[in-house]
Amino acid sequence: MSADLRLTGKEHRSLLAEIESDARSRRASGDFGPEIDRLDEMFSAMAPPIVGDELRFVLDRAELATFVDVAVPVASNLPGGSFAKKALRKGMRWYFDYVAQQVNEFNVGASSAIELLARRMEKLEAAIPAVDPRLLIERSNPLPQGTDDGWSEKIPALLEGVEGRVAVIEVADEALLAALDAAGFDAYGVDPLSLKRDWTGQFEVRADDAIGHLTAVGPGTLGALVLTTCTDQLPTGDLVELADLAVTVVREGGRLVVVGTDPVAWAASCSPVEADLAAGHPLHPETWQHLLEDRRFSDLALLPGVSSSVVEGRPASYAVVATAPGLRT
Amino acid sequence: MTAIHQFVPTFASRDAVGGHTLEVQRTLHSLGIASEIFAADMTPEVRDIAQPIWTFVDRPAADDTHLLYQASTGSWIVQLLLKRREPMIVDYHNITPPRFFAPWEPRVAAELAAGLRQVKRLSRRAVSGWGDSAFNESDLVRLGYRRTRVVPILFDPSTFEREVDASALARLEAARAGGGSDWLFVGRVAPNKAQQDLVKALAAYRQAFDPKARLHLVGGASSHAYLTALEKFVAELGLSDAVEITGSVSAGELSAYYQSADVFVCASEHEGFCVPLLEAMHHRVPIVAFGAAAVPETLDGAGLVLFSKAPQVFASAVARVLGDGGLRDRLMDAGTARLEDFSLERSRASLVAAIDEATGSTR
Repeated sequence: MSADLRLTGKEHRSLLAEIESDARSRRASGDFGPEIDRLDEMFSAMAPPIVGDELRFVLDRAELATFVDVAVPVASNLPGGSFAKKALRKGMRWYFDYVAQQVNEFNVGASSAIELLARRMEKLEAAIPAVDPRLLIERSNPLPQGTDDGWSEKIPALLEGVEGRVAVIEVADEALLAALDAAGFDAYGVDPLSLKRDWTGQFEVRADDAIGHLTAVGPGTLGALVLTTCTDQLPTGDLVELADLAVTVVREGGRLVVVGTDPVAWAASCSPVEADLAAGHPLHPETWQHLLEDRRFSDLALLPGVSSSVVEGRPASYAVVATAPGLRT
Repeated sequence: MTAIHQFVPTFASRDAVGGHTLEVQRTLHSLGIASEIFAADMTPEVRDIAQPIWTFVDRPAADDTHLLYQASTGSWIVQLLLKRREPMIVDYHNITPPRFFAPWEPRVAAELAAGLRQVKRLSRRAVSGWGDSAFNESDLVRLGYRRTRVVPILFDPSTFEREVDASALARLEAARAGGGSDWLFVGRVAPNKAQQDLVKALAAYRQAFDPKARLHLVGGASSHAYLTALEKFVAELGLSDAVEITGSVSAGELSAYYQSADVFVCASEHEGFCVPLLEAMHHRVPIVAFGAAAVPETLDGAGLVLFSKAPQVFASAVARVLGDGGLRDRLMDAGTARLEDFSLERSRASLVAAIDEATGSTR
């Protein structure tokens, strides 16, 4: 395709920034009413239960289909049809009963086994707050801030030599994007609360969640990925999924930087209720190192926070830096 | 190489995979390679072209024959193919991840999961895996295929030129005369296509920009439960007069929808390629789409790709495209140019290169 016709990356980014800025200002001015923010919730109420009850819903349906009914309907529109069908049913009953009994036994066995598994899983869910929606609490701070701690100044140097786009997930504030931009990187941000934040409009920030965004990004399309903010707030399973997705989206030789709050410092910064019931907790840096090594990332380095205090002998924040293996290795 | 036979679960000339299969056969014949099409199921208009799969079962294996499986759903054909000893090529057109259907249609989700398992099993036997987009190719890599490449879907853009259904067009034009812009999406009503997000965006757009705007959702339903929820959602928002869910339409009606559309909108979360985007380009309808799966790759700058599904952002994006004549014209021109990348000539050249690679031929 002729290159001068399609939107270039720069044009596209600038256009998106204008559109999102327009959407934010119209939202603030009331052109978009508050009910628009509730449309997701409204549709979800009409959808089948997706989380929590989904398994129970499917099991109930499966249980209904467990028994094979050998009483085949005999109604017919043809004269004598019903009589013929009835005779056939009676004649074949000995055969179908034999087969159906075995099928039913298998179905009952399989369905009971799944039911037992389901009960065990429900117990497991109850034990792990992150997967039980009943125990999730709203974050005490509706607009969480990033763990900057001097990282904005330090990260551009960690990405030296990286080519291609750099994604910062989640942004929370624009300091890191500004630093990357000043250092000449083609950087953009992702933040699920983008529409609610007061951006300068100078940088491209996409309103999306970390996993949703990285799932949509094509394989090997990023030169580097910086994970921050979400690393302190997502459930453990989601953090592991982020590590998996990083393997796919960062090209071979690209860089991954994981910025997080040390769990000890994180717990000290929360209220007791929030610390106990929060949906997600940050991981120890050693855990990130383990996860990344396991996924064949190389050149792993652990860096302590630049200016933060030390809590119980550990720096309050950290960055784990690694080189990506690429999808095919 | 004397033969490459194709295998299709369901063969229909009107769908994208069916059309592709026919074009592949034409290309193979033009290269002097014999190619027959075998299908588990087929529509009446192709019964002279394809043969039932059982006619192949007892054929002895031939050394100079490859089997080409067109994978777009799960099928028992795979069990038969796995018993054959001829080298196999898998042409993967994407299978929707089961997670989209699981809450709505558990049975369909199970079928999709089975289909993906089959594609994975075939990786052990396949000498090559073809995806019709880099996105599909990456699926193949994840499923364990060692030799993969992109082979674009073969289709003749002239098939987009159909006689317009005059009565459908007159009905749509009459509605347009009353004011309001027309949004169009073409694709099956299915959870992965996320038509509900288009309804949300329309609600926002009508509130802030154009209270008479309409949305046409064209295509049959893949999930009755999802369709029912969508209809209920539309009704509860008071948009029943503004959102049309058409069901399946004739080719002439489809042309009428494209002809009267102001913008093609797409909120799909999973598309392996998305042929309707190309049809919109052909009809010079500007495109605003959520950038998921293969959509950004298919558009390649010939549409406005969004990375947010917030209804306010989607609505503002459509307003920008419809209100900025320069941008709209540029997107339409870019679409026309992008369509040339998928010309039959170019796609056939890619296919020939892929065949040579898979069969070791040095043409």
